[in-house]
Amino acid sequence: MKYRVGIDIGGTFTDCVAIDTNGRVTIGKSPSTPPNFEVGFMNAIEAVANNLGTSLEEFLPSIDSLLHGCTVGTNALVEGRTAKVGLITSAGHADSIFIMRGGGRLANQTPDYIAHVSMHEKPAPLVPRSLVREIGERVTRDGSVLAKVDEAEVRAAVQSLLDSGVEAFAVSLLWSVSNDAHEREVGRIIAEMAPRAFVSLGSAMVNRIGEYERTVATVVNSLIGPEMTSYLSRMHDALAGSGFTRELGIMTCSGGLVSSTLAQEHPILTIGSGPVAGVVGSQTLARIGDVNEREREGDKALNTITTDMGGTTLDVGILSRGIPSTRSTTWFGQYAYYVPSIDVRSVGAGGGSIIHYHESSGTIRVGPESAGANPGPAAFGRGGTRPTITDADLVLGYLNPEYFLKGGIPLDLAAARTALETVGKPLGMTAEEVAAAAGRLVDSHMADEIRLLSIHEGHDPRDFTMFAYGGNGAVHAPAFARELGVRNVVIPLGDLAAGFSALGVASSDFLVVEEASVMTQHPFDLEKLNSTWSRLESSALERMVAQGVNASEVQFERIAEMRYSQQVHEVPVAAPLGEYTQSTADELVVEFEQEYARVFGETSVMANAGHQVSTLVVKAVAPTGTAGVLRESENGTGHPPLKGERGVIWYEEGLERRPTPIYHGEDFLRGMRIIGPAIVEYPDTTLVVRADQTARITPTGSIMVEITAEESN
Amino acid sequence: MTELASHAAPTQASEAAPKPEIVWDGSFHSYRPTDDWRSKVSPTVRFFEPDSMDVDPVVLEVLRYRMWTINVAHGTTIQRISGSPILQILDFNMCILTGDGEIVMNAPYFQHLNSGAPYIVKYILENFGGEPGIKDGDIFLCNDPWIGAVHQMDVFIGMPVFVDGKIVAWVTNAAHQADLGGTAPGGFPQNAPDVFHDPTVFTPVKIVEAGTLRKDIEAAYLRQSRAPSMVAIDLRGQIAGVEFARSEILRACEQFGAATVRSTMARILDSAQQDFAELLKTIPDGTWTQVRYFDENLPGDRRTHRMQVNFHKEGDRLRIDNHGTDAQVDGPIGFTFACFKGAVLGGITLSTLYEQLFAAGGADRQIDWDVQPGLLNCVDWPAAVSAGSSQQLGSIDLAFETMSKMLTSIPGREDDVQAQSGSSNVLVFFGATETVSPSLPSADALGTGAGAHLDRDGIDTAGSSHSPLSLYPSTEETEMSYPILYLYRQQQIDSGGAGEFRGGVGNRFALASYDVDTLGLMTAGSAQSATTHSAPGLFGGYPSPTNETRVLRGANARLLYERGRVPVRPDDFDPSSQQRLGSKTEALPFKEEDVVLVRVPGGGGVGDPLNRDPQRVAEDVVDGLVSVQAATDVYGVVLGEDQTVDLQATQSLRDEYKRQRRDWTPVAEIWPEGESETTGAIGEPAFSIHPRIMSVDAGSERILQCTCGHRLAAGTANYKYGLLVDEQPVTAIPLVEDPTEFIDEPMAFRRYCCPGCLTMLVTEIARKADDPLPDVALG
Repeated sequence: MKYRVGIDIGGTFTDCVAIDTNGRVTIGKSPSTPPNFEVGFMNAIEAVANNLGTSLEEFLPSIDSLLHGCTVGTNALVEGRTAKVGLITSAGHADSIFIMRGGGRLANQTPDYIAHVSMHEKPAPLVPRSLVREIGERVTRDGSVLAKVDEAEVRAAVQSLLDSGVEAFAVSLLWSVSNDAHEREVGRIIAEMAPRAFVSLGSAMVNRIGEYERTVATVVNSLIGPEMTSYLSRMHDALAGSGFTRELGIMTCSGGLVSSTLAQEHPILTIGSGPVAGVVGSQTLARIGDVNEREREGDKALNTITTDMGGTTLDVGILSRGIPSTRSTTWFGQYAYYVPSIDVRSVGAGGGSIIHYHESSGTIRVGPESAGANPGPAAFGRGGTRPTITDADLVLGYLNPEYFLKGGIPLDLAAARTALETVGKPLGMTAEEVAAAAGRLVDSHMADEIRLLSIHEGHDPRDFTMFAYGGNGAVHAPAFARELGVRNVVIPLGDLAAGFSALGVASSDFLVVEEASVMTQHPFDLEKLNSTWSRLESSALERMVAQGVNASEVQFERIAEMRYSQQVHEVPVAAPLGEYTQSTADELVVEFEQEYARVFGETSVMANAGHQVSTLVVKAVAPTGTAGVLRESENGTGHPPLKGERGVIWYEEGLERRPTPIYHGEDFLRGMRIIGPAIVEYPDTTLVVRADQTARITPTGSIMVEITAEESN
Repeated sequence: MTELASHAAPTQASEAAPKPEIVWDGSFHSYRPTDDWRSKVSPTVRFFEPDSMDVDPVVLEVLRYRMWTINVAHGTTIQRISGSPILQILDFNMCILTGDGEIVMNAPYFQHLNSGAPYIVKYILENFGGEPGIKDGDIFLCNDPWIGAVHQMDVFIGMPVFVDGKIVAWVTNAAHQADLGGTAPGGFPQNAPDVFHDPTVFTPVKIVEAGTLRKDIEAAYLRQSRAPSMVAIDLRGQIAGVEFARSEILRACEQFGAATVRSTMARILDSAQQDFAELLKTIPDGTWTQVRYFDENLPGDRRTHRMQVNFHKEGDRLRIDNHGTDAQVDGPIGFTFACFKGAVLGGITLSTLYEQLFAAGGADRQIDWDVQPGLLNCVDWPAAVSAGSSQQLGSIDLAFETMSKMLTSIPGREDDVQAQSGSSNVLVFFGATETVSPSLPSADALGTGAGAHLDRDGIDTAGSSHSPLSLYPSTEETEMSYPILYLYRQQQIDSGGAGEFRGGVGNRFALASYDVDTLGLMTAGSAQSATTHSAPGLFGGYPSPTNETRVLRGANARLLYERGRVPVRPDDFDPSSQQRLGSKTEALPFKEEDVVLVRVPGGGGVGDPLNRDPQRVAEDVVDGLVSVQAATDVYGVVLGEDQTVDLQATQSLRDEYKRQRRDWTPVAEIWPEGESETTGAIGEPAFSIHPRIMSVDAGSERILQCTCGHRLAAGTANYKYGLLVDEQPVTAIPLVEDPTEFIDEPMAFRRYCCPGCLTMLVTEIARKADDPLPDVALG
């Protein structure tokens, strides 16, 4: 038996998922071991091996693909453990990274922060001004050279940066998207002068117009480059020490895998890959059937919203007809940068969101502040005194104080109650009343935010199935999904939902994305299109082959990003393969008009405005193995045996505690049904089935919650 | 000037014989609803107003958040459908109003754009309720600045939301259009003597009737535009926006009951009103005054015009008037009442109502507008107003700064005290043929710096505070869309006002054309940003300098490149001649061998520059934000060879500057009439009106006293009369050049210090002939 193994390292746990050739899934879990993550990594594989009744040493040789979602780059950035980077830019334009596009620094901030203008700040520079050098050169939009690079000047700049002790270089010149010769020239000189230094070139990062976002990407890549290299080589050594010598596949934010070698060159691709893996995992399960029959056909088939609710954030992804939304810009704090990414948006609501009394409006509010993991909810007994959503969930009776994380963290009900009471005092509210208010508020806010994100993409959430995972997904999703008018909620693979990213990693394909700005007006410059497609494809193929993929297995996808000349919205259009003629170009226009009308509505179509192709994208994909998770037949009927009964407050019904059946997750089998209100306790998560909802287990082992009532207060 | 304009535009509005009663009906003077306006609404219009406005606090919170979401999604809907580049820099805004037109929730885009919405809604209710009637599914359009639009380019679209045949709410938006006619493409005719040269004015019309677009009205509207297809699609976006917001409000009504939704609106307004009233109560009674000067009413005009706004705070109310402002004149220099109110309320909202997510209607209930028509900030029909709206942006900042001064008296609100950000001269290119857009207004103004705070510097190249989210376009994007070349683009040294805390710096750039023979160039500036200064300094800080726009003829950038001399600063060019441009330049040819240099100013400084930590000055010098000369001349900081602080030399230079201040003239010697009677003690605790000036009882007298203990003035006087003053030409401000190239009026840069501790307490820029400008007068 051969296995594909996915490993996702989270803040608390390292999750491991092994899928065998038949699609049978085995999971393992082990505490994360910062800073020596490789220890937890090996332990998690060992946990899987043990669950399969074997040892690590015996299991390793049966692994076909070892695939990894790592947060080391993200952590290094957030914790400031980054390399000393020297930035080289075009003369006269070094300030771009300090200017941060003015108000552009606010683009990804919360409404509260944006509204409070006098408290705005600019973050510390990514590179101190003293480590930025300008070199005299100029390329224009059409790629022609106005001023050439002066080698002596470049050498002097590189030397002075080396003298300042830089360990890594970022080179980002104006219009390197049109002509990268100058950047390559600088790269060559650095390689000569400092062969061991980590170097990122803007044009090799991403080929999109906009020097600010490209420069940030280049700098971020260099900031985490050395750390990533060291991490992956330690990982490699640890694996080799156990006898595993194949190359590791690394998950990227683009939604696929790259080899460990490529990840070392482009570590920026790993940032945000965890939430993206969850979207990919959802996509896999949706495709093989974790949706209701009526959702599987027609225009809205496989429409999926993914929600990952953890301690501090709710991460939301949208798959329209099974295809995840993508974006070209991502943020590190207030810094925007280009990277081709699956679009996952974070909303500041999670189990740790703080419940507080807002004096001037005389109301209870939830968030945006979060207690995070430290001090965490009051019930954790780690010093937190302010009540959080987890405290409310406990007081409402959703959570079992003795069975949280299988009893790993005993919850202090009295502490939760006291914290909630304190908040309610000014309003004369009891702990139960505050908890019910907070539960209702957070479910409503999350529904509002998800609705907003769907509208932003032009979708109505009522046409979607929701995948809910993360530690708190199963607790709240049935409530906020009902608020949204969603009819089905899937808790993917049941208890694995808490560490679901690992499944996404295990079910991803190798993927390389190449982009190029072209900017051509209809009738398009065919020669430019053809030469760009072929350049992108050969470069993507080269990168695939370089990471050990067999050239014959590589499949290409082409996407042309197009827009109306006087408009700003770009629509990605699936473009045909092969050599283009004028008629292919005309087909693109027809396809674009249809897609534009579909996404933005018929009234938006601006027929007389002229058409532009702005960017070409090539995706090279190579499957890692047989995709899929085993579907198994029913092995039970009726409802699971009752584990017990608890008084639970259902805020939609009032403040009375209603005796509610409690079930054990392990007893909940395919073919059984649970009618809400009910609570199903798993080791790592708790499913809260609300009144009029029905839960069952799908053939893959996921929980399907069906919501009959369209909406309710 | 046209004959019609000379007849119609009143030039003398003040100080005349008793005038007939002012009729604020939007025909000659602006529209302002009377207290009993609802009695004039046709009885066929019914409002959904439940008897009890009680609402469960949890539901209130759910709905408050919901409304915020509806507002933002309303904006998203507009952007998605229109796809217009203008709307991408968020030059639009949307709001939710009660059935009778109070703003319940504004959104965080251009703040002032919605402030006229209550007036337009009330105007429609008052005038058209009977005929043509207001029905379910109707949508109205209006861009009349005398009714409620900021200027003609910001078109209002509003839709009533009906439940059971009664209006429960209005949802509206206002968005900037690409073109609506008039003598200049883009809607900012600098040489328009009157409104007949401006873009077309539309009083409210029903553009959608019972859910169906009125094709006749749409055609008439689009006919006015040079860019009809762009305007058409933006119109559709705006219409879709209000339709979306309406359906979401109705969904909330279905879910929670319309009475609950309406009551929530009432509670949000009450709560914002109460917060604002409470805030006002904690501010001492008094009058805060701001004076600004505007140059060039028409291109080439050399006069300077005065604009004044007075904020009278009494108890929990605020009365705002425009007395002291010059009468309106020909040309696009003034703005209407809706624009004025929008600016002032926008500034107040930004500085004080952020927690209420801009429930401006609540604050508005505590404000009385005691305005006089016919003055520059409340112009009557048919003044040219479209281009004058650029003056208005400065008024938002002005209101923001006034609130800052008021907040200084409240312990705990120090964080909200901030000097203004820079205003700027917008540079517009036109004349390129193979581009999508007929003109390119340079968006570099969005790289201005923010004003300083009481305890920290302003943000460098922050963008405008009145539209915080607006994106500063990148060099590559701009070069892609227009045949120009940014030779350099960088933060501008010395462009932030000096102070104990420095204003954020702005930027500078040099542009040449690329691959095109000749382009046209024009400028559109505001206030005195081309002649004397941009953002005023606060509490003794320096103002930020002027904007500078300079055309270098024959500078030949291409040749420099070929010779390997990549230009990175203004003196890298060797032009055959050069020309400095004022705030209103008409079409100027710009040849391929020419270069234009522009400087965008930063924000104002706060506090005496001699009190700035010398170490921070040294850091600014190293970072290229402050020059060595300004470090010495303004900050009194001496740097050694390696740019580290020479502490001893710095101390003795600062001592020397302080000694020089002893020789400044007592203000009362120059303007003896300004001295006031003494004020009796009031038995109240001391409070601040300035970080260094307290109102305190001293024996039997209430006085204004410097924190050094020196008595400055009687308790209700203008404290400036107790200070020493030094008057310099404005060129004493770093980077400011001789204003007499553009204006005749002699202008002065006045610095005032405490006679006791010699700390600089206030700076101002005024006509030489004007008395010390009023600031705050308690009581």
